[in-house]
Amino acid sequence: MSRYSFDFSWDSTYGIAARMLDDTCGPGLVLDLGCGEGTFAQPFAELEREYLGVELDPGSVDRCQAQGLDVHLIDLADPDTDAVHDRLVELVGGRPVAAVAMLDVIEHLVDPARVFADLGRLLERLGGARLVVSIPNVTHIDIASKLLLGRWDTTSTGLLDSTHVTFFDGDHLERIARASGFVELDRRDKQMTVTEQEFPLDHPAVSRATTLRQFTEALRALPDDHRDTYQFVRAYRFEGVTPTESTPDPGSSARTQPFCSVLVRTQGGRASIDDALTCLAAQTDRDVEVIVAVHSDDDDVVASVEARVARYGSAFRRQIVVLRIPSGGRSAPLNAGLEMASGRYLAFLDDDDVVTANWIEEFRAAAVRAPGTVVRAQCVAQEHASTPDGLIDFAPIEGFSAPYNPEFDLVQHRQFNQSPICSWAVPMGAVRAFRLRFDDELPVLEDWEFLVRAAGLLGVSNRSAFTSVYRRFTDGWGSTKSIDEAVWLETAYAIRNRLDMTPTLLPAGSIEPMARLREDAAAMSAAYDAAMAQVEAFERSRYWKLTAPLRWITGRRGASISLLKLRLNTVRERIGSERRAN
Amino acid sequence: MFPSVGVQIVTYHNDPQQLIRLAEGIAATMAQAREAGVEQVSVEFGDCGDPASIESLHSALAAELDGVADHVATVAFGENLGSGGGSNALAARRNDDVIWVLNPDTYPSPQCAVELLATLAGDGVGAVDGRQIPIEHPKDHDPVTADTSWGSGSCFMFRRQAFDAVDGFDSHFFPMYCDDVDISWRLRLSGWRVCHAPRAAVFHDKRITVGAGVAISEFEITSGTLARLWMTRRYGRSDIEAETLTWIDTHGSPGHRAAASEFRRRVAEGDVPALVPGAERVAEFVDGEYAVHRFRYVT
Repeated sequence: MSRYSFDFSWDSTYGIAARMLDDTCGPGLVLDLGCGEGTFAQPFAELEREYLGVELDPGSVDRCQAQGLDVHLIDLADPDTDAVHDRLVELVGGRPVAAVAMLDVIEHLVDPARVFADLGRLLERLGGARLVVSIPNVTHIDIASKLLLGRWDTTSTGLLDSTHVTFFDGDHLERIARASGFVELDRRDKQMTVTEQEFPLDHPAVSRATTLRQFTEALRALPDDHRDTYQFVRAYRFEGVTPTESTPDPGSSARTQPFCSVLVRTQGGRASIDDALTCLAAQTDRDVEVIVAVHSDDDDVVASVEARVARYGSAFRRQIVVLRIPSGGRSAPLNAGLEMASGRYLAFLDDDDVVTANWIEEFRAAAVRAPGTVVRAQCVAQEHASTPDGLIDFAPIEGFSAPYNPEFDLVQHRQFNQSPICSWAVPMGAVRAFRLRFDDELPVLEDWEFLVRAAGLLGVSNRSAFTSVYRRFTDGWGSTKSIDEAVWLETAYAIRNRLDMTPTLLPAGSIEPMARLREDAAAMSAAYDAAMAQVEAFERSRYWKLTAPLRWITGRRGASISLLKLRLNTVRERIGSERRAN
Repeated sequence: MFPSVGVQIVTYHNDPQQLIRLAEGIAATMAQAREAGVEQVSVEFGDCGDPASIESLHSALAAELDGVADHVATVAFGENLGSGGGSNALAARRNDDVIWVLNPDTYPSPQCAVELLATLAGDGVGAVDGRQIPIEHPKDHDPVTADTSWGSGSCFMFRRQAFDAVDGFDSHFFPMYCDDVDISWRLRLSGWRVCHAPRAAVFHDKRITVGAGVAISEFEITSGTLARLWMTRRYGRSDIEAETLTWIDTHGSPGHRAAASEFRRRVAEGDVPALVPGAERVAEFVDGEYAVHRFRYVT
């Protein structure tokens, strides 16, 4: 028996591929290229389809034929492709072909682009048959996790079969198929959480009990859906290569892109959007693209924003795109920005916030110092209120305050936000690599939750300059007031608990401040206990007991002691709340 | 609507890109003004610094203003006339119905000109200033009538008739600061109203300090303090003059002291501003400011 002799089951890759083939492809026989021991023939007896197999290994062919299978000896790697195709066409003998199957074969061939191109020509000769493939995923978590720790364990079969010569990740397969003129009809990728790579069992990359493994599992889930994909199981139709198509090389990005895209989120009703846009027009660094996301399903509202945009100078206007977001929550316009931003970074400016002329300039300086990190600058808050004259919607009623921690402290950010959305920008490379999106399920705090996730993965390059003004409204403009306080708290704790369910990567220097806080809290707690013990000792003292009648007469029975205890308890509560806040 | 508007910018060693951006902003807002009925638009840049630099910018500025401005000029004064002196010199070159003074570090919003013009058209209004972003000026204005103590020279629009009636800015306020307060108060003494147009948003490139205040340079301190002393003399507030000088002698920074010594030198030479008749009717010296302020920034 060959090492590729497998029992058939409907749950196996072959079973999934057979079911998909039967569902996706029309009537006709199945031509199985590289059929091995003929395992794939088994389901088609049940599905009442004719089966024709070809195989390179004479022993396998003999065994298949002995079972009564229609299997023939052909070397698919023969450089005379036309001769191979002629032979296949001859074997088919004019019967309709539903699909050509290539299961666990392509990874054994040296030039997959050529294989796909050849398959295209073969499908055309076979009258538009479909193609069904299964290909192992080299980016499975079991390989990724071990590779991270320097292990590349080939095995006799499976993900890292020692005879594999080509390796596929999901994106690579999609690009090569598309470039070769194939259109995907269906995908039923085989998922496996336990593979033959699960050795050595106590290795930190392998054991699911280690923090490292838990972290890599969470990390590997971010970029695509193939963390647990064992094999890509796909069905294609061949459409032919159109002249405009070319294989894009992910290593080169020749496209000139602006440094920063700016997403201006508006519901359309506020004239203050002109403040925001004028601030953007006046930037010292105008290497930007401005995406105005109008969150409204009202045509008139969208038209009014478009009319405002149209009034800007032509050069700046050309940098602005107006997007209509007819539905969805607060995250919908933000996510639309993430989808379409063409800049290296994406910054956010709500229509009621304003920025200084060096807003983009400072973001760029932060990005130059630490490319690929989240960039952040300082933000002041300013209280505003509706104006009595009604000439404009609101006006400031106080100067600036600086309520946010000038340093970016990830642990503190996990408790509550210290960075309004106008004070940071996220690198689009990371947005794409990690498929970062704002959580549309959140009624509030979507920006905080996003920032914490992004900053936790990327780190933050922080600037000391103040470049934005977060306008706060004491009378109902901002969402802080229009949304129930209870919803805020409930959402905040839900986010905190969810984020804490997976291991967190902390930047260097994050632990010591937390350790000191614990020490401080312990010291304060001990000081409280000592003070309380003294009070209680005094209450039990002879003097206190002897003077009780006097206090009874003056009506001040124990008043001062009670007050002292009350104060101490207030201190204790404060210690508790400080501990919670820090 | 006023038939003609002359936009004028006094420059002094400014970043060329900043001026080109400003021209773009002026073109957009004046295009709106034209739609609202303005027939003639002129834009003049008057430079107090290097003559070659402003002249080399002429074609780039004119390109930005193409199709909106009937006339674009770059004027090299060949000397530093100061902000007020430069504005007067530019105003004297033209005869537009409206003079719009803009700082080189501003960028008007598209509706800025239309809103300023609408307020300026009000009964008896001689001058109007815009609302500055992102750092709004805290001086108060009447929410109903829009009247205010003074208008900011960073974005200040005048009826020519009013501007000429008070002989424009007083160039003694050299190189800048308080010339806008002074012209506002003299306009009001002449019976003109000075108003604020909150809808006329204008970006003014002011920065925020690390202490969440508004950044002020040493130059601004010296120039602003000298201007303040000048104002006290001009508007008959010897009490505030004495108080200010005493404070500077005791607590002042080098910038404050330089201003005080320059002021004393000018007084000694008899180069003192004339007292404005009726000063007390308009002059507002409130907590170190020239108007009631709605709030305060830290500096």
